[in-house]
Amino acid sequence: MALCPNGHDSADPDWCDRCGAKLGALATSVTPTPPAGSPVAPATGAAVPGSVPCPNCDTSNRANALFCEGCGYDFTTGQLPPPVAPPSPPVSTPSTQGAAPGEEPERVPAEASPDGAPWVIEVSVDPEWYSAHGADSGVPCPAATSRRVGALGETVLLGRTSHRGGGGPQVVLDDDPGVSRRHAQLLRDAAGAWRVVDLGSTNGTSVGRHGAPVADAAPVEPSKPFDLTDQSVVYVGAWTALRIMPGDADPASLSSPEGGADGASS
Amino acid sequence: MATFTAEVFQNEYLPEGATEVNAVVTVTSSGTGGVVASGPASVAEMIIIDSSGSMDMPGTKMVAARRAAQAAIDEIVDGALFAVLAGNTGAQVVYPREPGLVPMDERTRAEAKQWIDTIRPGGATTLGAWLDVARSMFLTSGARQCHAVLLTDGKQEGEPPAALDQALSAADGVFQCDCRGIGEGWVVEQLRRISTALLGTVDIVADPANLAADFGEIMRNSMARGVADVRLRVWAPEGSQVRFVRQVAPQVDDLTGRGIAVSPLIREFPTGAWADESRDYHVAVAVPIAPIGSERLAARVELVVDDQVQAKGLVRAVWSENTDLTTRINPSVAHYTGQAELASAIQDGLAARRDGDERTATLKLGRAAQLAHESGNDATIRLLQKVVDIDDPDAGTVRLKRQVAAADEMALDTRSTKTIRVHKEP
Repeated sequence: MALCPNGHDSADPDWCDRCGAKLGALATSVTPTPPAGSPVAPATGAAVPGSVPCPNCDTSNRANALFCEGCGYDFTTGQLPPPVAPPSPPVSTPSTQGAAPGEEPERVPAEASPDGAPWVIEVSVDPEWYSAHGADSGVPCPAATSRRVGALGETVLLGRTSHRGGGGPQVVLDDDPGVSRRHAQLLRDAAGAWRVVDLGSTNGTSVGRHGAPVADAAPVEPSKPFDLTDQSVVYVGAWTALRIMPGDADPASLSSPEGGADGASS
Repeated sequence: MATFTAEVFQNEYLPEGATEVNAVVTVTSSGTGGVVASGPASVAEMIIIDSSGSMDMPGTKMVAARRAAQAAIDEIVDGALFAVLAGNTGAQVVYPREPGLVPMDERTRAEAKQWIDTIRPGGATTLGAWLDVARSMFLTSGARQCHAVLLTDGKQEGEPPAALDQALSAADGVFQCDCRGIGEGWVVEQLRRISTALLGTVDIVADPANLAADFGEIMRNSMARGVADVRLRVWAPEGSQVRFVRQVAPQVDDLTGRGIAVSPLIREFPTGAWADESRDYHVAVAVPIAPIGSERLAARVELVVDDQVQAKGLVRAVWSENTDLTTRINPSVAHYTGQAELASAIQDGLAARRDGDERTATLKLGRAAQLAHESGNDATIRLLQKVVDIDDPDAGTVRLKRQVAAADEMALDTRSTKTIRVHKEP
């Protein structure tokens, strides 16, 4: 993992996965440094005369900078950057000196739900779905159980373990014969809203409402993101039902992402 | 084994405060091996022949359509699945005589040709219904690489106009479709809508005698495609906006609205199946402003097959104070910007001409003549000359012709998106 000057983790060692900043020599440095060999190297540094401190993170910036090099704070509008995936980018000072107290809630990392708890996915065997859609698979339905998967990133792949390599799913549904290798993806935006995209799976993905009969669940169109609410239940395969919910205070019931959060499992 | 390469042509230098980055990415494939390499059993072909009542006026059209379907049958390789549809009010399966598609072999080829001779005209032109029948047959065939060729001589009728768009959105991603219009009674816009949505080509065959040769060529091209479902994956940084993604060679095709978001920063654009060929894409991204001296990745363009990246091109942005660097326009970007404008100038000019707005028509077609002349697009100049008299190609001065054959106007319209390639220097 390389670290970009703006505090993003990047799997690509050359260019930041999120903001496109050139890495290379800068990979492990959090101090903004002019890229070597650029046609016009600006004379910036930690304490150059005329530099301005960022009101959000105290990083020193060029007097005419539009965005903070450290945290992405927008000097023009005073807006904070969208929250960064890793919980504590090294550039943020421990006590956020200089930040107005009112800004504190916006700094909650996006992998937390609005009330601050992490998101979890409840994965359950749903006999009702099985009798409606999965029974003709010929595979008997296992006992109704449920488990929870936590520590979710912004995208969560649902599927079966691939034997051809490539990114493995974060929610592994190997037991369910009706699930495709790359079945569907759950996407979270910066505001914490979730959507589901069917990735062209063989048997499709349906969305219903918690508490409503499964007969009301409707298939989603492949490749078109579908907005989920906190009452949505995502049905895939022969018997699998999934619900996204804010994690409760019982971390013991959580397993970490099953296929590796970075999709880099073997 | 198929290999893909990607080359990027751009001027990466931006002046202070600039945000738009343009690049042309040339993607070239080789060693794709055709459908024989990918396994003919995973390939399905459908021949859809208009058999509406108008095909009998004159009857030479129906005869030519039968010959064309038979010529296409001859090009389908043994083992590939196929079927023949006759389109009228709804669509009838002419062959095979049992449900589904059948593998091509000596017997089925001979039988199909005999049954094609039984197609008789009568009924309406329900383009949407034809595509719906083709889609459901392709879906049940289990084939991975599905392709149809559709021939019509008329405009959509006998079904609600919305049926076509509904059929197209359902067929999207299921099969590719090349369209041919015969005679002068069909509507360029309708067939272009089909071929654009279904990643195919559209053309006019003015003379029925040329139809069989054309169909043979379409099918040969389809049989040469050995890699199915190739996608263009475009990453752009957080806070940026992908302004457009456009195929610009061999023809202009705007892909921007067709992207599928696979993550907040990544979209995938379907490009269909590939033979050994080369295509150019023009990508424009608006990136967040960065200070002078910064270097950013503005886009990463990848060719993806089965979720595996086959080739990668990097589009960069470097902000500089050096005006010698920042004022240059990359020749490829300039060329294809012009070719895209040429296509829309022709389409807008012909639309204005049909509406009786001679002033706009003269201006637009004049601009088209100028652009075609500048870029050396001689094929387009020849087509333009049948619709306008070009007085001064440098200045774009033209006069509308009083008498224009409908077929000439339709040929100019359908071929307006064909581009010529630029000789590139990186």
